[in-house]
Amino acid sequence: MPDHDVIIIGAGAGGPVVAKELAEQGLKVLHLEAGAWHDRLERDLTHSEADMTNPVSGVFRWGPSDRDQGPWVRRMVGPGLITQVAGVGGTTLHYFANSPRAFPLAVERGRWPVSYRSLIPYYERVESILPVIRDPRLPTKDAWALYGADKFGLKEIIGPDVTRAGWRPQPNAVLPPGYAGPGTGCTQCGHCYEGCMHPHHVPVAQRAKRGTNVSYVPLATRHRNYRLVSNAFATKIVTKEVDGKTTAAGVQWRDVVTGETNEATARVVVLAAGCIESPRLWLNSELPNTNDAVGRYLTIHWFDFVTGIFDHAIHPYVGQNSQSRVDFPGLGMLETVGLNPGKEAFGAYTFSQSWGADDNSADQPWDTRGHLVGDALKTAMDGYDRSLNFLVVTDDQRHPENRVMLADDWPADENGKVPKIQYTPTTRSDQRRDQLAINAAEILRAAGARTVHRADWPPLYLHMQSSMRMGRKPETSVVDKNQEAWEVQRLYVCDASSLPDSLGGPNPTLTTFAFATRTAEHIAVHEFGRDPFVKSGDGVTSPAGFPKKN
Amino acid sequence: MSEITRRDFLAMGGKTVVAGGLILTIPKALYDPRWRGAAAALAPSDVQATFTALVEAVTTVADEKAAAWIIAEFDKALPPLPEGSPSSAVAAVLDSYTVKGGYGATFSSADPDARRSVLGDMVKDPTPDIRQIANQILPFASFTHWSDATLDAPATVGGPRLPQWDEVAWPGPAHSYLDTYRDGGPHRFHPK
Repeated sequence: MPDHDVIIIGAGAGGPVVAKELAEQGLKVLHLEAGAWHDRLERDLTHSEADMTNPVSGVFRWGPSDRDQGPWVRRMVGPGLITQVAGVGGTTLHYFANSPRAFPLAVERGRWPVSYRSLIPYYERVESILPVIRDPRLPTKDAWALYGADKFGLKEIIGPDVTRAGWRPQPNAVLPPGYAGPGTGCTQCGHCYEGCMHPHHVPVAQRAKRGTNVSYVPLATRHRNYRLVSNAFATKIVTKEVDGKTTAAGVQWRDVVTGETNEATARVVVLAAGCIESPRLWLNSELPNTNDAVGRYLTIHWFDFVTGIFDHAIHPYVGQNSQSRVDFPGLGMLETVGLNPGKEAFGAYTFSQSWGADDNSADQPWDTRGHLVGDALKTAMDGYDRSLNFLVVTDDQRHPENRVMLADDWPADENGKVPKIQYTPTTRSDQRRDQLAINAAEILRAAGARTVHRADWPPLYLHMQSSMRMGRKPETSVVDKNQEAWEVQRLYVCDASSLPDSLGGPNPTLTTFAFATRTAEHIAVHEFGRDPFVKSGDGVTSPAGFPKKN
Repeated sequence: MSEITRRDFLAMGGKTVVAGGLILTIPKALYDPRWRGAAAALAPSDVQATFTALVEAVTTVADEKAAAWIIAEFDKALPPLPEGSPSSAVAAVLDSYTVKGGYGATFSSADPDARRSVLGDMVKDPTPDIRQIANQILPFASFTHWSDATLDAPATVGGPRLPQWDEVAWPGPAHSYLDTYRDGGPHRFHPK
């Protein structure tokens, strides 16, 4: 008899969803997370940019919970920046909680193995549990952004299924101010990226930003058959042969604090370690990879950043960090981003692949492009309180050479061979990004921006997707429509790495959750003989105890 | 450019936990033998002067605390060199490109415009690792200057402030901005 029914690797975006759903079904679940568990938010989180988001030693860096130690290594081919977060909640600790659905166009065009319509009940369940809410009460930056989009000629998008270009308040997994009475919900403090601790003095499960650390994980921990182990870095997926087929049988992990090695067995293993660590663990475990598909087809939404400076205050530090969006099915989308000044200087003006002084943007809708330094940077930052940012999020075309592999040119660390990532945008992705940047600049102009700057970012590995992609054929994918590995029985991949592609541009978290819910139901039914538990509009109650509301 | 080998790395006695997030491909260039001698020859005060000059070139402010913080972060994130430190290797690279471009003898002794030209040359260098060094130290300099990295403790609501926050009109960390919410209505998105 195995030790557990299910072992889940990773407590970021996908793992906690599977954990909650299977724990509710009475299954014995062991959940492993490489980072720390910040279960006392007022103690563990601050509103400090350097303390929280500095990627070398910040709380949200990718590294051991002892911040006196260096971060964990990754290798990368070419310039860029990777943002990964270790800890219960993973990247949902620092995300903006933007929760749009995939574009239906992307599902059809990308020949996904499941239909958009069949995903809707799972979207609805996640949107209800988190919950996801579009709040039309907007802070200044978002009001100006949507004003500009309206002047640009776009109309409001009503409803969650996006089939045409338009603007809308973000569907965010954030409890709005006063959601369940005075003192509840978001305080609009503007520190989503530094981690949400508000409102103080309410139970953790009622905090405003619905990262998995305050939503799905507390729901799972209500069940005695669920056990979460933090500081547990999975180093090997153990398999055995069953009826001549490679079958998942357990997991080995390393205690990050003590260095001890542990192992447990289970009937089912769920891999949810993220787009870099999931393929890394697969390859380090020497699991079958007949078609060399593991790690390939990585997409990253090929971001850029466009900033307008106005004559009047925008107050970019006020409100949820991204509370409005402009969707362009076929190209991607734009979303507002409000940052504190350190990250504004970084993201808007000094993270670039081109040198500003050389730029000739006379025929473009922006005034400047590329690195700004010296007086040019000082002048731009003097306009910080009057600046409005659009994050350009591209419908990133997948390509087999964009991939995660094991580094053969760097020493292994204590967790095995280190990952190496390479990405080059395709010509089509470049064209889409350029068009979106033009749209962003013109929307900012329509809103009244006096000057516009395009950062021209190098690759930012933030919305990483599809490195263990789901597909119709094992030649070009790693998992089938139920997220079960083609080549390893009872091994499921339930994070953004198993998404089929970049979803057309929408943020990946909600779709990752929807697929994880769908796969949890599949596991419960087909591996353990439970009944299906997801129906369209089933009106589940949110973990905060609030009624369904959308 | 030659690359660090596993044997080189292990011979350095380097930690195996080395880098992540922000600093990724810097190590291979930094450990190139071309810089090692120059890096080893730099005194800590030279490295401090170089990073202060870097921050000044990027932000116009000779922010010594920001420079010291960046040096500490580099040396924490990257494996040690046989002699010198990762930050001294960065300083050596900056000096080398200062000489190569004819801007002066050292990065710190060049004037701010010349230093910015050095950075521009590195951003456009044909070697990806050199471009990557530039693409890491530029954002690091700006982030460090305008964030709370140089405060003695993480910024708090109502706590100590930096003068550069006043210059950009940032009120500092906050617990709430509930008074900014806009009510609904037919023109609810029209800015007031």
